[in-house]
Amino acid sequence: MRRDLLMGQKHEIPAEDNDTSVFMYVLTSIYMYLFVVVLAIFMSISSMAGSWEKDITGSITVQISPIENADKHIDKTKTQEQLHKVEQFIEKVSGVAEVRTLDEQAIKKLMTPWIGTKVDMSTLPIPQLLDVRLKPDAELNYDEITRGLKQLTPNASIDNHRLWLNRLIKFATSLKTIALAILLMVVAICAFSIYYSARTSLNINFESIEILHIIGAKDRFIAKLYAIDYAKIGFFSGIIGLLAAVPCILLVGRYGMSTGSGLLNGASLSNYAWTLIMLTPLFSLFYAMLTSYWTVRKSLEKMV
Amino acid sequence: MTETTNTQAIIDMQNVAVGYDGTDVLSNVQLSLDNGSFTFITGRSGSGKTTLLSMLYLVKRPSKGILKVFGQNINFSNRDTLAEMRQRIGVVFQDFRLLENMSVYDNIALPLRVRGMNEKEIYRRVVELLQWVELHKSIYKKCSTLSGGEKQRVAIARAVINRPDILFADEPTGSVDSEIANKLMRLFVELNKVGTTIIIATHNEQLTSTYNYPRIHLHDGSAKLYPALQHI
Repeated sequence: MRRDLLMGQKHEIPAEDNDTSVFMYVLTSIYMYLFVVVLAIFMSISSMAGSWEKDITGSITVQISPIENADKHIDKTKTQEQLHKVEQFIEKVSGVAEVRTLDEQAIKKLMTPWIGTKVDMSTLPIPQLLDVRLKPDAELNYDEITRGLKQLTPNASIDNHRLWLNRLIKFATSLKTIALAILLMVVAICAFSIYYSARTSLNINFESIEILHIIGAKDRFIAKLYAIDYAKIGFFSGIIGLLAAVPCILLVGRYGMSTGSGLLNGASLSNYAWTLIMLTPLFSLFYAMLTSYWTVRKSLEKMV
Repeated sequence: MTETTNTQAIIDMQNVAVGYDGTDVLSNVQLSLDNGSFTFITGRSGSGKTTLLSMLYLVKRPSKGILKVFGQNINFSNRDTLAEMRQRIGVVFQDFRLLENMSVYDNIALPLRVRGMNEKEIYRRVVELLQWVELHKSIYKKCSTLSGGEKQRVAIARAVINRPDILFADEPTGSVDSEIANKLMRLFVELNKVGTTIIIATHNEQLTSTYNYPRIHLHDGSAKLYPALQHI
């Protein structure tokens, strides 16, 4: 009983015992589940797009098509000569850190997903590839490099990856925008729910509120009582939402990894992202607390 | 107590009108009540006793005129100032207006919690007061389980726990038998002796004739002050 006395404030407005509060626990838990899932999606897409961006800004590929001799066969010697010239040219370009010629095995590995393992690649006009690593913050003039290459050999061309990855990045950015919009929508709907629930509770407990006013309670005292109740709802709903969402995130992550697609490698959640996700109940606590506090203060101002 | 403006008065009304939804129940009320006075507000049912009281305990603003409580014009007081003024006021209602789901202790402790007093001091004060109103054995009972007389005593304890400067009572004897009514009145007289201004709204003629105090009589939308021992 003494414990009850020490915690007396929780009884002054019986919001905890009514159906509205049960409804709010359920509703807020669902919102928090959605919030966590969408937050994870948002952060994994950001991470994936960031990793793509890093890849394409950190390297370029130069390809040299095989040179044919008069009888339309691949002239390996001439091709190697051109490759060597191009390699020397690229090494001198400002901003280039390292140039590596991909050997036959490496090229074969790259081609395998398209042509399989049973094809004799020596009979195919497979281009030679140079993997060019750039220095951090290097800004290359691609037009100038392309012109230089063409002067060396018309068979050389540059692929800065951006050509095809740009489309993917644009797609990822759209997904990020959609995820962000959903996040904001969940947050807004949650705020509306808290607003209407607090207003309803104020109406239900109108007599108690009036008594509190008569004995000299300031608006912030009453708003604080609500804020404490809603902070509890926010925190425990955040925990429930988080507990429900984390297995889903892990499951989706596992399926994503099992596809073996290199494109999805960057989609993993960083420690920072997990920390943010784990902090969701605290965010939910403060959000519910501040929204209810503001709602009650504004509503009470309209009373005498 | 006078019928003219008094700057030292604890309550001062100048041409005050008050009512509901644009219709004045009382108008041109011009009264002053001195600090430490004991006054009855009388009148038939519907004459505006409760309306006048609710304006005086600051949950209703006058529609016209100037009302000063503790020397402050309430027309120019913000919500926080009004709340602080209400902390110096105690109110006893005919229907008790207790928080029924709460214990006797929590109901009485409420005004002190509102003021932010520490729980140890609250406990000390509540227990002391419960002994005075002879309810110490019911300290942890829920108010919903109490009798009418017990509820009335809880309501009084809640009204006086803050040691208010003014105590308002709206038909305090309306729901209790004559023996308890007399006990209650003796309690109000005791409080008045220690300096609390007492204002009681009642239509109980026997009560006002037994206790020799001035009265404000409400009739046809106006208020008239009668000194003690004078027939209306």
